[in-house]
Amino acid sequence: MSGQFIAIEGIDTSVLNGQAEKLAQYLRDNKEINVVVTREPSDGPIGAQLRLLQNERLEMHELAKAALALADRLDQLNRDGGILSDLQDGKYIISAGYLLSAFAYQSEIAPLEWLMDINNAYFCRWPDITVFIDTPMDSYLARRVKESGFESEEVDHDRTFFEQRRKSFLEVIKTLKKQGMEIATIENDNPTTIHNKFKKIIDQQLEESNQ
Amino acid sequence: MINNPGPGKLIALEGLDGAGTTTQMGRLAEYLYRYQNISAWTTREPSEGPVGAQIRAALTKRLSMKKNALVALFAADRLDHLYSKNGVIDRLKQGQWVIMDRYYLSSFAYQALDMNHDEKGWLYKLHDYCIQPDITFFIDVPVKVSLTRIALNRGFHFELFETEDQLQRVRDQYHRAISGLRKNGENIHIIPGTQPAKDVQKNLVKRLKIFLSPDFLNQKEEERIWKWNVLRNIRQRAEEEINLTYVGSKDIPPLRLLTKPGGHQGLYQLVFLDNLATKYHVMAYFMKGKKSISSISVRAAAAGHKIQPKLEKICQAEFKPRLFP
Repeated sequence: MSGQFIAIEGIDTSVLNGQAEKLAQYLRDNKEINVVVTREPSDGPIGAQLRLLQNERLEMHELAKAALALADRLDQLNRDGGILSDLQDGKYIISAGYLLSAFAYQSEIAPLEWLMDINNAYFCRWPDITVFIDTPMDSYLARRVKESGFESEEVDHDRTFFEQRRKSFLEVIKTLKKQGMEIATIENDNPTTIHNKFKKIIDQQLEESNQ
Repeated sequence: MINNPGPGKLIALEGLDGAGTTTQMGRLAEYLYRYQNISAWTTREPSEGPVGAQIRAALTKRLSMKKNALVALFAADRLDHLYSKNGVIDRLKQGQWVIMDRYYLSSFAYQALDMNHDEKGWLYKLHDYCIQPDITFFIDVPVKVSLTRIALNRGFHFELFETEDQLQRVRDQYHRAISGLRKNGENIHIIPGTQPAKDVQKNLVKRLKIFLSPDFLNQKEEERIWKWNVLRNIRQRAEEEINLTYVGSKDIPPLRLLTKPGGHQGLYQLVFLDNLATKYHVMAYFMKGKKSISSISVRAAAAGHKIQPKLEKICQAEFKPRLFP
């Protein structure tokens, strides 16, 4: 029996990583499911270059970055012991950030239609379940103040970044839904509430698969 | 593919390993500098950038990577090569010419091996934002020649694609890709590469001189010619069936022609080269204001040259004048 591929998407990556781990633990402890948690960029050689780009130690045009991200994704999917092989073995894959995040970030420069074409489902395994954690701006900025130690006015430049990114996500979600993709949205709340909502979605999915 | 933003020109050199693309790149750059006062930037793919380094590691089997990931990596390197600061596009916009040792035709040959129709569609889609070269020279060598030269240069260290059977398939794939790209109007010349390097260079330079000639119609002006199916068919058949390369057209001014009753006659001269860069002209006469070609003839471009008989046959077959009004 093949596994399920779950993508957790959103702007706040620390929330995504935290929720991915919580969900993985829940499935292991309560459903005896073998789970692998992955992320993008991957831990492979191409992922290492993408991280240099994220840290601005390396520069690259957005079109090239989009193709590099695709290469990393395909490497993570297809390599020996990669995602596709794990799914075939019946494992569940939880990815903290996947196509939705990639499209939202990259479509600010590269055309969304082109991004979707090069990441089409023939080559890139699309997730079975996609959940978008929608973070309200105030809670995002409050967390930034707490983490950075800056005064609230000093993280105000993050406001523009956040607004732009959220707008990109919502536009991509709208386009993908029109194409028939199912995407659930969870409002960002305290971690336990989000986790409980996740459990509900996954339990429902498991029930439907068993029928 | 997108058009060159110019004003610099982009020349691509393609061929199997051992075809001599690197040698000819240097020779062409020197010719352009010495005799045409044109400064050209020479560069290669995989590029010298960070992604190019990973590709080389994969090609030399130091890094294991599945095919699809490697295909996307080549595309990433190409886009980085084109769009990076001081990369290909920046230089073209500044007026510098760029000569590339390998470009996307190599991907359409090597990577398209064993790809089905959908996969090839994906491969081409990855290249949507690549600049179309102004001229591509494919240096064609038999596979045995390619393998001999590779062995001499690298001491039997073969890269990922270098068994005889695979290389023959790659060479066939090159020809298929060339045929497809020519149908989209790309300017691709097939040059025999088994001759000594200086003779291959002479062949390339001859074609480059024609390319640099100011008499030829530009791409926009050429659109008037291709509205006639008969001329499009002649070009396609000449390229596919008898391996001629279409290099451009001239619009012969009507003042030089006799005026016929009822109107002026116009003339387009389509110029073709064979693989030794011998020129042939297809002369297409039309009555100005009318929608059809009135006659077509084939001429050798220089005294003493033979008329290409097969080209003549194609023109006769494609041009069927109306015998009855």
